[in-house]
Amino acid sequence: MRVRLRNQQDFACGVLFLAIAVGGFIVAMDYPMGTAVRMSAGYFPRTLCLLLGVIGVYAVLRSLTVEGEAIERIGLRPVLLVPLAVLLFALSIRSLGLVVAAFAIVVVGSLASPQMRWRETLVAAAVLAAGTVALFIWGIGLLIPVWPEF
Amino acid sequence: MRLTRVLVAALAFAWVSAAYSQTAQPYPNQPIRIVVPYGPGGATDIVARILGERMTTLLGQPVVVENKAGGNGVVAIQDVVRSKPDGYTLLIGNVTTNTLNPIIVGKEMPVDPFKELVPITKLIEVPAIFLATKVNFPPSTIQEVVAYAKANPGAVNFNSAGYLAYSHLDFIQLQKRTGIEMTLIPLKAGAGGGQIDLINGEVHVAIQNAATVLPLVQSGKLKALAVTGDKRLAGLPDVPTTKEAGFEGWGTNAWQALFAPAGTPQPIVDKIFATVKEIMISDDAKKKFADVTMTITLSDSPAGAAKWLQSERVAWEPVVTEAKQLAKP
Amino acid sequence: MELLSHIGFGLSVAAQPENLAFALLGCLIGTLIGVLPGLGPLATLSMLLPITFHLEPVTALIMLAGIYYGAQYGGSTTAILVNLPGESSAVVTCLDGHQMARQGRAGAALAIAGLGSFFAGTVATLVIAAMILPLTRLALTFGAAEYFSLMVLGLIAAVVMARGAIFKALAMTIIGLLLGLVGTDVPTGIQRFTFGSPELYEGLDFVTIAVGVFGLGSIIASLEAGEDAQTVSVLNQKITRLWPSRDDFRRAWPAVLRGTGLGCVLGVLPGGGAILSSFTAYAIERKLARDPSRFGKGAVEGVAAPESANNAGAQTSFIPMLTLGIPPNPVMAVMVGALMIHGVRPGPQVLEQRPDLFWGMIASMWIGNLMLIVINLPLIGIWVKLLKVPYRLLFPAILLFSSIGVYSVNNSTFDVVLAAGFGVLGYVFAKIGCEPAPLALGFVLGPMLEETLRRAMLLSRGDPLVFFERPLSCAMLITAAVILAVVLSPQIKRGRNEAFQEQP
Repeated sequence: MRVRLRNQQDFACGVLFLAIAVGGFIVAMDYPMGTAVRMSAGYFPRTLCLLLGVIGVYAVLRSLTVEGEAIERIGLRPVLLVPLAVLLFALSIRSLGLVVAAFAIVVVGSLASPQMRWRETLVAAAVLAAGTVALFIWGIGLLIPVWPEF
Repeated sequence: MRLTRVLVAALAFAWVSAAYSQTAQPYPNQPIRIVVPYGPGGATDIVARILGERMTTLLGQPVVVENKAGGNGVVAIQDVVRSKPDGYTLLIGNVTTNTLNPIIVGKEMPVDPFKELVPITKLIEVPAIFLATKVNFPPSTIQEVVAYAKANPGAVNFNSAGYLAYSHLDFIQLQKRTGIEMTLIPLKAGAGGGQIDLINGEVHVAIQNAATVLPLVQSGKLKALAVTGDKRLAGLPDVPTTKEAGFEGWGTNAWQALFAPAGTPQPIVDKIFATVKEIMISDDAKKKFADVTMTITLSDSPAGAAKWLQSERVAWEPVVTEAKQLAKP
Repeated sequence: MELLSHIGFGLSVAAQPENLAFALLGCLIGTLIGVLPGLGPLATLSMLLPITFHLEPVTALIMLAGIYYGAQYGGSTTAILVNLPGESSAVVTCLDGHQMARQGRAGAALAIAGLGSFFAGTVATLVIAAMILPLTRLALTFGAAEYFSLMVLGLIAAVVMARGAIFKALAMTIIGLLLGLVGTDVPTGIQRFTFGSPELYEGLDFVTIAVGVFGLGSIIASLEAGEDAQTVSVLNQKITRLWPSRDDFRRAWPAVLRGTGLGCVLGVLPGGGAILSSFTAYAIERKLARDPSRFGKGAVEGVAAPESANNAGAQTSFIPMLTLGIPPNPVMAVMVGALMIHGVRPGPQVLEQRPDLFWGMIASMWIGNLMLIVINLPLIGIWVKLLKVPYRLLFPAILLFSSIGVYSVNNSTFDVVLAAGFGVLGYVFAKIGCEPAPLALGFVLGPMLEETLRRAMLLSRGDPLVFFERPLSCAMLITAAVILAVVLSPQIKRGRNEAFQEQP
């Protein structure tokens, strides 16, 4: 009998669940287990990881027996650029202020879309930067610097 | 209202522009941040806000409270320590964040609040009440609780919010002192459930801060067996202090104090101390804090505050070390 | 009628011009922050607390309460329009609400959410006024065992609710539970899954996960699917009408009634009340529906039930605070703090000593709901127009707003970085067909589930029978078992059929 992968989605689920379960269990090995009466820090996470592991195994087995959906092609552009835009925002908000951070996230974020047009994006970034300063800083009074601090 | 908005906007703008031009105007010439190591609404936050509001008036610069919860104060302390020691970033810490937790966590602390922060002054003490449930639990004095626990080892449940929180330490000491055995029912810090468990009798005794539980005692939902501190509470004249109940030196009075990053220039520290003192000795502040069962306890000077903090540390260290042994998870 | 005179007295307090003005202000601010993705009531309350120093205590409370339920109304708007739950209780609203928006029925979804919430709010106000003491007693009968069983029941409901394979829903719930464990283990002081970051000692914040898994995850998935390429966004292909159809109303009203009842009861329980009520309300509707397959594809009951449940729950969650002074959630803790700054200690004595505060507050809830519906219905037109903005311009704005929101929760850039990471995870989940809603429920309930289990075992000194000896707890566990059995049986059968068909 030849084993054939019939369901890519289930297979990926199984692998992901198993990875989380095994990783979580290894980390939770450091925590004392306790007893059923006096459960310690490790009891609950290890139990959960075991359950998740069982489900992971089930998913992998299922993917070999039950026909199912394939995973569609991965679009690298949004997968990389959207988180990157958010990271740039995180890196700049404290030191460079809201205006710079807003430009960073809007421009880099927009690059994730092939439909991006530079002029339009820059205008949108300017409007959004001004709008968020007015709304969040003047309006709600969040403690965020507006401009770079030197 | 619109005025407030405009004001906030102007202040924010002023703050930012001030960051640009550090002019030689005398302290303070820009807004001051008081970091609170908890989310909004708790006892520490209330103190910070009452103080901040009055400091704003006296100093002529906005004093803003910033909540930074996390890690029993570690996150807030880190933030303050990393700020410039220029008097524009202050911290309100308490017995847990600035004495107990650093001792408990020990070497693993990412910052050393004893070294990297200087106390400006102790601010207030919050007395605690030794509480008991009214459901199926006869004892109504500490002595009776001890006798009851002796007769029924392990049967008395107490709760405490957090591992080695000061109420937990108090119970560990009580058990050691009297040789009784009780069962800890841990609570998630800050969860209101602690009081519900007492009201419905799942938990038998607890030590909780008076500001929160006084109404429950006054309305007869819970029994008060004793109060910490050397004076009875105005709201509970019939409840003895722990000393009067025969347990001298037992029971923590939680405190709160104002800190600045180490290296803050002495004149600025002195100026803040003088301002806070002016606020705290006013009748208005006395009434305000008395209303919520907090006692103003000011240091005589920043140097006095440093000495006091050192004595706190010395007093707690053996207690915590011993408790850690006894409470091994 | 004592009840009527109490309500009348309350209305007379709440209707004073100053109180009305601040109720309106609170509702407006609340709607605003609710609509802005990520920005939650807690951060806002912390910023606005100083304003309340100069108000009468009752006025301050009315304004803060307005912000609280204003945010609930606004939060459902964001959930419906851009599929991003602002609060844990809006997670379920996303499921069918956003689908309705995609079908051009955003107006109907928003209107049903608003009207359902208003109805629930009105009923909840009356329920509070009439039954506050019995409901307080209900809150007090819940010990550790009852809570644990309730959460088990809630989690089972979440699994039932999920579309697609049950094993995926179970796994997502478990992953949510694990995420909920991140942080300091209170009984032992051990840091779990924090990898040495003090920022994680207090655990993850719901907003970080919601913005990451739901918001960023769905943005990445939409971009990949090429939604930005359409000249007209998928979201507004054909906005047929702003108002729900007669058919929508016919389907929605029984769901609103059931949701309201469920929310009123579950809201009283501190902690997970609001989120449990919205998930359970949704699960019940799906089970009762003649054609459950419509759910997840824009079923109007799927918006009506959870929205009314969470609004009713948000209101009855005031009960423990009003009668005992015990805040059931962090937002209420701020309200307690605000009162204490005014020298009022919330507690059982408030009812006798400050009836103006007590009844004024209750009456203002209804007035607040009235204001919110008046504010929100005309806004629907504007929100729907917002969907006309091309997606390529809309999504960077969502990125910006939600990042600011995440940052504002704890003034922490670390949280923003985490949200980016959860965004990738959310995308992966979408890619492999895992619905993230059960994860949200698991996350919120995880810490409580563990805590109540440990407490119950300690209290019973290790006797697991405690869960069956207490009638309420036993009843809930039996219900959970029955539900699970009912759901699993056809699944097993179908699974077998599929397997048989594949035999060559």
